[in-house]
This record gives sequence, C-alpha cells and structure tokens, in this order.
Amino acid sequence: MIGYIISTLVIGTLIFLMVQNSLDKPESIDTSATTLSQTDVAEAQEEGLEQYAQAPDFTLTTLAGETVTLSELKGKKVILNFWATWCPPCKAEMPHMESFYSKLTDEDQVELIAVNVTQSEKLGVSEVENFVDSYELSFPIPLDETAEVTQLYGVFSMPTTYMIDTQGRIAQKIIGPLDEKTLNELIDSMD
Amino acid sequence: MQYYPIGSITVPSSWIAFIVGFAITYLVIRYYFGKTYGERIGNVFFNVIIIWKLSVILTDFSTVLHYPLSILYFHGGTVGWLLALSLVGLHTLWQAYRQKWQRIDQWSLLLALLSWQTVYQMVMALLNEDNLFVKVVTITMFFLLSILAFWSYRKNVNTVSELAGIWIAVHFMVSAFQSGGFLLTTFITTILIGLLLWGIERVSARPISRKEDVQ
Repeated sequence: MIGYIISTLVIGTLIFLMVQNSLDKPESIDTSATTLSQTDVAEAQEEGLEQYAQAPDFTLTTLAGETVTLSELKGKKVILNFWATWCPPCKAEMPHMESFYSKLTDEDQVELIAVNVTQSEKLGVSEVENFVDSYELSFPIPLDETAEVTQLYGVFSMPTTYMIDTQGRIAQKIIGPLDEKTLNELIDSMD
Repeated sequence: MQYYPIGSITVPSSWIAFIVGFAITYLVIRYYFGKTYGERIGNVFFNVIIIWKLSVILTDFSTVLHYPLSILYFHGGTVGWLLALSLVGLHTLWQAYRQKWQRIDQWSLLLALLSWQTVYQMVMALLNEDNLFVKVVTITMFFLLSILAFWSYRKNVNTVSELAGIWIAVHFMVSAFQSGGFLLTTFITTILIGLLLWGIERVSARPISRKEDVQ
C-alpha cells in the first residue's frame, strides 16, 4: 500500500517533469512577453518606494569626485545601500559588501552603490574618508550631504538596502545588515 | 525570497515561516502528547536555531576573527542550517538509542517535524510570489500528508519510516512544481529528516512482534 503511494507520487512527478521539459521553451517566451508588456504599460511609469515601483532617480557626487545618476544604470542590477560610519551593523556588513564587489565582473551587470548619509556624520567627509581607507572599500560611495536622497528613499534606520532590477524597479527593500551569501541570493533572485 | 518588516528590521519570509511552524508545532505536540514531548520538541528547535546562528563562526571564520560583531548580525546560511540539522539529528538519534524510544516517542517526533514542515510550506506559499496553481498544490499536498500521518497514528497503521518515505515522495513532487533555488534546501531538509526518522526506528527499542506493539 505504502509502496504504491510512493511509487505513484515519484512516477507522477517524473512524468510531469518530462512533460514540462518538452513544453518549456514556448512557455518561457510567453512569460517574458507578458511581464514586459505589464511593466511597460502599467507599473513602469509610477515612481515610488513600494515593490516594483520605479526607483526615484537621483544624482550625487562620490567620495572620489565622480557623479552617479541612478537612471543611467538602467540595464544593470543595482544594490543601493544607505550607511553611516557611526552605525555598528553598517560596519559589520562593509567587509561583506567589499568582498561581494571585488568578485563582480562586467558580465554580471551588477552595480553596488553605497550612499553615505554624510549629513549625519559629525566630522563630515574626513570621517568617511578614514572609514573607507580602513575598510579598503573600492565601490563608489556617493555622499548625501543634505540627506535629500536618504529622505527621498524613506530611510529611517541604517543600513537600508534597496535592490533595483534591470528595469529600474525596486525589487526588494531590506533593513539590516547583509552578508555576502544573502547579497548573492538577492541578486540571483532578481530580474 | 520576499522580505517583510518586523519592528525596525526586515526579515526573510523563511524566518517567519520557520517561527510560525515552530509555534504551531509546539502547541500541537503539547496538546496531543503532553508536556514532556512538547519540551523535547522545543529543545530540538532551539538547538537547531542556536547552531545555525553560531555556525557563522565556522562558515565565515576570517570575517568573524576581524569583526567579532559579525556573530551578532549574521548566521551560517545554508551550510550552517545543514550542519545544525545533522548535529541535532545525530544527538536525537543517540537520545533515541539511550532512552530506548517507544512507539509514542517516534510518532511524536514524526508528527512534530511533519507539522512544522507543513506549516512552513503553507506560510511560504502565502508569503512569496508564485503562481496560484503551485501554491494550491503545495498547500493541499502537505495538508493531506499531515492528515494521513495523524490518521495513521490514531489507527495504529503504518510505521514512522513508511510515512517518512511518503513525505519525501510528496515533497519531491511538490518541488517539481515550485521554483527558486532556496527550495532545494527545504528538500534536502526533508531528506535528512526522513533519514533521521528511519534511523530512530532502527535504534529504538524493538518489540518482539508488530502485533504486540499495537496492543
């Protein structure tokens, strides 16, 4: 009796998998087409902070003196992190961020942007410079000196990280520190 | 995987599903088998959580060495989870051998782990995005499996390892429908649980014949 149940389930699954495999190709074209049209028509235009809304655009100057504009990064997956030097969990996640970033290649099409909330730094930019040096961070650190972008993104506690997909939509908002495994998982689960 | 805000942080849906599963399991076992069995299950879950959390020391040794605060903020991930399951599984197996577990011990463990998995799967189905058909299949299959297990216990039919076999087969079928990489971990979890239940049946006090056990 038990044997029958188990074999029925297993054989049923194998048949299902075979059928699914043979039907897979047309199906995947179908779904990509529908998601595209959905986003183009309905969701893409709306800017906001909720899931699948278009991430608000901003332009900031980095510590290295370059300008970063979010909308120019469309087509890439963007990790948008907000942090400050005085925040312990931000310190904890920085080595993971750096390790994650150092393994990225051009093929990955992933950008890591760690916005420093400079307005909240007591000693200003020099403190950020010291921090970046001691943690040997190599990714771009835009400075939000007026906390305008921080407010635009509704960041109350740090670190807060927005995962932004290739179409510039917010895929996920995570409050709290992220390690390298989680960063990889989040990037893999995003379009 | 979907993240949800709880207080000032956001947590992955799998944590919520784990905790809800644990809470319901504890209540079910407490009500069904009494305090002793409830506490045993509680210990199993707490040990798994603690090992999983602290295993970051092993999985990410160099970071923890440089930044000891990492222990507070991070956990062992999939590797830590499997490590926790294996260690707690072996400990439970040793306990079953030493204490000469009876039928009720085996079944309380099976029903506890199965209720946990069923609630976990249901909560995950509700909290994550997937198509409706997959959600319905997941919820229905695990629900039916739980009913079958509780019915078998009441009616004194089937053994724990037989139920574990059906469980693995059901989960195998459900994972064929589900999508996403993290689901693999849950399937491995089920296989490990199946092995544990089979092992416990081997090492427990064995009645001279099945009939005697039933009486």
